[in-house]
Amino acid sequence: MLEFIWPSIELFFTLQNLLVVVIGLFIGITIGAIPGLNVPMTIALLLPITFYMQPVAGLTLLMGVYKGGTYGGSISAVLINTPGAPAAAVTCLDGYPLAQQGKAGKALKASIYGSVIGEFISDIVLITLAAQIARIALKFGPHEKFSLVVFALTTIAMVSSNFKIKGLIAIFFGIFFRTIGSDPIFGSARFTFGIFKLIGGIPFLPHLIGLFAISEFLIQIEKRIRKGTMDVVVPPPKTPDDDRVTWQEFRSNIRTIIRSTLIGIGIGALPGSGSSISAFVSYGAAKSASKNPEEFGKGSLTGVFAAETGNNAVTGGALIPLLTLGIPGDPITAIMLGAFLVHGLVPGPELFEKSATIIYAVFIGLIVANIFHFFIARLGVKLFTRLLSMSRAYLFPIVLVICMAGAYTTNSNLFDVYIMVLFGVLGYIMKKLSFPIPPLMMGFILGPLLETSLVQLMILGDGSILPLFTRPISLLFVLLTLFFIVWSTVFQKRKKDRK
Amino acid sequence: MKRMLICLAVLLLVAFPIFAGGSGDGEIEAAVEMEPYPSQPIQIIVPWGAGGRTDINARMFASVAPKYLGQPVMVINMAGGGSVIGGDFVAKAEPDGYTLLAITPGTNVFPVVFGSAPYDTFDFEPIGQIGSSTMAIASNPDSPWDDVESLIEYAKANPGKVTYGCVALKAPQLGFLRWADAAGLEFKHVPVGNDAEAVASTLGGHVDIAMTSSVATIVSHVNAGNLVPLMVFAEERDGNLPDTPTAVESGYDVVASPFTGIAAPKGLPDDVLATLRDVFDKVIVDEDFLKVMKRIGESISPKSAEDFKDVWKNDIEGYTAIVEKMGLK
Repeated sequence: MLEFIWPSIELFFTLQNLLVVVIGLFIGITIGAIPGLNVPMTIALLLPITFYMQPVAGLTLLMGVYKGGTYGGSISAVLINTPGAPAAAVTCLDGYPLAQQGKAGKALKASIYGSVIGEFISDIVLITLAAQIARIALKFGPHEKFSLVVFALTTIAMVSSNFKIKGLIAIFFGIFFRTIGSDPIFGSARFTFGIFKLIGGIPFLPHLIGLFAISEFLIQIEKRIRKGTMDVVVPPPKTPDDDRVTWQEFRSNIRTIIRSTLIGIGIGALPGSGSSISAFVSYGAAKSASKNPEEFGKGSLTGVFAAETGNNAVTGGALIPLLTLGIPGDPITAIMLGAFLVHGLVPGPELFEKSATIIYAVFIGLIVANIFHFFIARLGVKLFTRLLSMSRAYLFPIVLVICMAGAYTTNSNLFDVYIMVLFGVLGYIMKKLSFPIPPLMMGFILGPLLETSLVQLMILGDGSILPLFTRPISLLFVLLTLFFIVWSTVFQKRKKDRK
Repeated sequence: MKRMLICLAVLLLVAFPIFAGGSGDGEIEAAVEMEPYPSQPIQIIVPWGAGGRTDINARMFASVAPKYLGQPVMVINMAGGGSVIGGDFVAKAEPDGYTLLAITPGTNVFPVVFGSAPYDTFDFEPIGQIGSSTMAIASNPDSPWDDVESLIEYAKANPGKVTYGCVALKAPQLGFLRWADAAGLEFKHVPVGNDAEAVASTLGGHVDIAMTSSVATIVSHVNAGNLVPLMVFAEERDGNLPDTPTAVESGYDVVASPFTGIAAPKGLPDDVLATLRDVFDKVIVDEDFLKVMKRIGESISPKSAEDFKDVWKNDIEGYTAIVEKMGLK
C-alpha cells in the first residue's frame, strides 16, 4: 500500500482535481437540499461527462456529489420538515422541532459535524479494512438479510412515534404500496387494477416528495399569514448558543457519533441496504441508549447527531462491496460502477492490483473531500438559512414547482406527478391523524428486500424458516428484534409508571 | 368543525388542479414534416435506470452519433415494469425517427413470450445490434465439482439438490433451463434481483452456481480464484475466459446471448430508416465508441438490421419453446 502513496498523491493533487472536489460537493449539497432533485439522478446526468475526464477527476466528482447529496438532505429536513433525500427522513424527527425552537443553526451544525466525522471514519475504514469487511458482508445470505430487515423495520416502528402501533401500521402501508406493480422476483403484475402505468409500481421519488414535501405544503397552507408580522420560515435564534453546538453538547454526543458511524459502515457494506436504513437504526440505537429517550422526536440534538452520522457513514461503507467485489451497495453506487468501468477500472478483487495508483488517488480524494465538505457545508448553511428568512408565501411555491419538475423528470412521465399529489394528500391525512410518515417510506424502501430474501430462504430451506434461528448472524438479529420490542414496550412503560 | 372545514378546503385545493389538468397529457407536435431528417434533436429511450449496461451503451452511442447525424442525441431513462413501460412508449411513439429505443431481449422478447407486454416483438424496427454479451455459469471453488462434466455427474446423482442463483424468467434462467433440459438435469432455482446479486450469493456460498448474463461480472473473481467458470452460452469462447468451454462444445445445442442494440418504432419512412442505419454503421466502428466499449468489457458484435431481426426471431422461438415445455407461463 505504502509504495502507491506517493504516486497517488502526485496524481491527485492537481488544481483540476481539487476544483472538481469542490464542484462535486457543491452540486451534491445543493441537489440534496432541494426536495425534488435527487442524487441518483444527478449522478446519472454527470456520468457521461466523467467519461471524458481523467479517471481520478471523474470519480472524485461523483464521490463529492454522493457525499454532499447524502448530507444536503438534512438542510431541508431541518428547515422545512421535508427531507431533500430519503436518508434525511429521520433528521426531520428532531431537526425540525429544533428549528422551530429557534435552534436551526444548532441542528444544522450538528448535522455537519456528524456527517463529516461519520464520513471520515468510514473512509478510513474503507481504505484500511475493505477486504476484511467485504468478506463478512458476503456471509449475509437471504436468512441474515431477512432478519436484519425485520430488525430494522421493528426499530423504525418503535422509535419514530410515541404511538408504536401507528408506526407499525405506517410500515405495513409502505410495504403494501410497494407491492403494487411487477413483483420483484418474477415480474407478475400485482394490484395494478388494469392501469398500465402501474406495472412499473409506484415510483419512489414522486412517492417520497408527495409524502414529505407536498403534505408539508398542505399543512403550511392552513397557516394564516398575518399582515405586519414577519412570517419567516424559521424563527431566529434566541441566544448565540442556539446557533451553534457547544463543546459540552458535542462531548456528550461523542458516543452516539461513534456508534452511528459503526452502524453506518456496517449497513453500507451490505449490498441492498442503504443510508436511510442506517439513519434509522442509528437513531433507534441512540434512543435506546439514551438516558432521556422521551426527548427524542421533540428536538433532541442526539437524535440529529445519530441520524446524520448514521447516514453519511454509509458513503464509505457502500464503496466497500463496490470496490472489492464489484457489487454495488445502493442505487447510487450502482451508477458509479458504470463510471469505474468506463475508465477501465474493473471493481472487484483485481482492482487494487491493476489500478492501485488511481484507486489510492481516489481515496486521497475522499479524504480531501471530507475536509472541504466541512467548509462548504458551513458556507451552504449560511446561504440556505438566509434564503429561508424569506416569507413562506414565496418559498413554498418555489419549492413546489421544483418538486413537480423533479417528480416528472425521473421517468419523464406525467403519471408520476399525479402519484406525487396523491401521496401528498395521503401524507397530509397521516399528519393530521398523527401517523408518522418515515416508517411508511421505510416500509416502501425495504419491502422488496424483505420479500425477495423471504422467497429465497424459503426456496433454499424447502419451505422451512428454521434456519433463521439456527444461523448465528440471523439469530443475533432475531434476538435483537425481540430485545428491542421488550425494551421499548415493557421497560419504557415501567419507567413511565414509576414517574 | 372548523378544523374539519380547513382540512376540506385544503383537499379541494389539491383536487382542483388534478381534475383541471387531467387532460394535459397531450403531446406537443412540432411542425417538422417538411424539413429533411433529422431537423431536431433525437431521443433514445432507455427503458431501465441509469448506470446499467444498456444505459451506458446508449449513452456512448448518443455521445458519438451527433458527429454523423448532425443533431444532438439525448438519452432518456424511462424505467419501470421490467422495461415494458419504456418499450411501450417507443412502440406507440410516432415513427418519425426522433424516438429510438435502446433495445435488449428484456424489452421485446421476454415480456412478449410471457404475454405481459402490450406490444409485439416486431412492433420495433431494428436499426442495428451493438453487441451481445456472453452468459456464463460459475461456482464457488469449495463446491464438489470443478468443471462442467463433474457438475453434470454430481447433479445426476443428486437431482434437484444443486442450487443456481440468477434473475428469474429472463435470459439467465431461461438460458440455464434450456441447457438443463438438454442435459436432462434438474436444479433448484434461487431467484435474485440482478447479476451482481447472483455473484455475491455464490461467493458467499448461499447458492452453488451463479448464472450471469455477462462474463464481465465474473472475470475478476475468476482471476482472483474466488469463482470457477464452468461454461459459457455464446457461439464462441469468450476472450476473457479462453479455457471455459461453450455449451455447444460440451455437446448441447444451446446458444443464448442477450443482445443490445438500437431500434425504432415500426413504420419509419424509408429515407429516415436508411439515414439511421447508415449512422449506426458509422458509430459502431467509430474509434471513440469502440475505445469505451472495450474498456467496459462489452463485446462488440455489430449486426445489420436484417440479421438483427433474425436474432429476435430465433430468441422468440427458442424461449417460447422452453417456457411452454417447462410450463413457466
